[in-house]
Amino acid sequence: MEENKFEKQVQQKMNELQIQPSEAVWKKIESQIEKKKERRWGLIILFLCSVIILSGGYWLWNGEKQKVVENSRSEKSMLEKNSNSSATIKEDTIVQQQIHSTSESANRKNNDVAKDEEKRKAKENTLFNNSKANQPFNLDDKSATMFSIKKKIKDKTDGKTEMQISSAETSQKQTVNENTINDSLNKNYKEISVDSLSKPVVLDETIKHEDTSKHQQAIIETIKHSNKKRWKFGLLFASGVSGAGKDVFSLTYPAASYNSGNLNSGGPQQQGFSSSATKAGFGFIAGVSAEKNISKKIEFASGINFKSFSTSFKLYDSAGTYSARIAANKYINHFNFIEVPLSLKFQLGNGKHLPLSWQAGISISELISSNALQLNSSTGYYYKDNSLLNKTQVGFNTAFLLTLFSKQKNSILIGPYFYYDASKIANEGLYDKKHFVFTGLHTQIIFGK
Amino acid sequence: MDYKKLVADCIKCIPDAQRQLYEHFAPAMLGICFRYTKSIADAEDVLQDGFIKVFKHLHSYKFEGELGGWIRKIMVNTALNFLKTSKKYQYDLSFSEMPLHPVSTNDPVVDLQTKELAELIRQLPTGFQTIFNLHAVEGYSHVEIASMLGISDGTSRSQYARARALLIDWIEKFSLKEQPEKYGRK
Repeated sequence: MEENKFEKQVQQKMNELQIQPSEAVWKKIESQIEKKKERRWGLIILFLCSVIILSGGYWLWNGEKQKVVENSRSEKSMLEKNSNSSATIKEDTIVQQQIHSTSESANRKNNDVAKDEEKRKAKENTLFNNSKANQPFNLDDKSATMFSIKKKIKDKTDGKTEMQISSAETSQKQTVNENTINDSLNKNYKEISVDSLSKPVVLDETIKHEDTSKHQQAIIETIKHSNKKRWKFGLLFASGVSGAGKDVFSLTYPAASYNSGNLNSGGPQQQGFSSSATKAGFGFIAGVSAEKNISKKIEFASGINFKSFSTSFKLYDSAGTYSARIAANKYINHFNFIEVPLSLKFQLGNGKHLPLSWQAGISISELISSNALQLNSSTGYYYKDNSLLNKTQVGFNTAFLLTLFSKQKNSILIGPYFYYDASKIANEGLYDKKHFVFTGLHTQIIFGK
Repeated sequence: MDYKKLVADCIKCIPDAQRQLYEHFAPAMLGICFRYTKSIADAEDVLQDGFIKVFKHLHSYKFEGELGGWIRKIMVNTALNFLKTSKKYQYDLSFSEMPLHPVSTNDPVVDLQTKELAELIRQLPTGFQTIFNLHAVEGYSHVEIASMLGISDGTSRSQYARARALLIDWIEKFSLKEQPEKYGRK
């Protein structure tokens, strides 16, 4: 009873205890709440960007795949047409031989009985009938070819009525592809004098050769085009040493005291406590990559990565609390980021077996978690306060990459990688004006040739 | 005060509502934090961390008890975490067996001012102070305290008995005009 009486009195009095906090407390709470809101928005924006990049990549990938299928279909049909046209060319050879013999006989007659109009007309009719007789076997383009040849014969033999025949023949319908082939054939025929008509087989081979090379060129162009536009996806992993320093080349920084400005607000300021030297730690980057050719020797590379950097220093405590008063135990600070790299990859030299490329670009990172400690130099205690860290980081990355199995379906890229964070890790506290530096080995598997 | 609307507005992150909630509860909550710590600055740090937790987890408050009681629990837990992770409180939070202080048979009538009593409680070693606050003021049982602090309930009981005896001794002395150190902001 007595105990309860005492406790009740104490409880009553203590429940009445009210102390007005200083204005600074609310300001700190307010800033923390706002930072959380901003961080949430940052994560949402990062997530949306990732979704847009991935869906855009998927859309482009699918679009290009469809284009390649269409191109291969059109190539197939081109090949079929070409086989038809080569058959036509062979047929033309037969016709030419007929024409040739006809023209020879015409010449002979021209010499012997040049003025025998009736006979010449009869021969021309024969020629015309011959060409007509070939029509079921041949295409319309043959008629145009014949017209061209006959015109030349006429010019030579002073013919007059061929235009009528030609107009009748050319009135027949011709498709676009056939026109192309006809143009090519006519061009060749025009370039060759009537005398050279005695070598029709050579002419055919020239046409055939030109046509094949054109076709090959078209295929190469198609392949080049599809390669240029296609996204290549892969997985990457880079591991090495990460650190925080004041410049590009420093991974560590020596012991120093810092003003935290967070703990003991309003308390007396003491001097003397400093952190132990901050050392480099293990770091790695892992993620998916997407690459695309933007010119013959330049590729654009992007992706989304998980990046983890660490640094370490020594602490006093053994049970979860931290002090800089005696340096004894090692503590590892981890910084975990989601990263979107944007890089250009330049092919160096003409190495066909082991192509070498240089990659350089920027990386935008968002801090997602950290167990990093800050130091209160007045009390000598370490504490966690991630609000002091800059959440968004922008850095530069570069790598020299050697491509292994470049002729295989899946290739492997390997080489040294270097990253420097242009943003400050924090604007105050232990990481004030420090920058992350990471150097390591970059490995990447690219799927698809 | 319409707590339901206030809580709903705070969940929507309306700054005025957040400020209103803070201003309404902060003085009482700082009183609690003050009893568990040794300085007003530490108490404010606990208050700050506690209110950040309150705003973060406010959506989980289901109006099953008083809002003040819910916030109070968060403050007590934040204060305990602070004591566990803060090195300067670690030395005193060892709960080692100490020489037993003489237990007063006569419980004094506590006619001290609230702040004077609070100051006396804060003069107790951290282990005693914590267990006394949890049992005498918050009303937790020794079993609950044992699980909260990771000690046995026997330790909690014996520590409480010592804390209580020491405090009664000080109250008696204080009543005889022995002035303790003045507390307050440094």
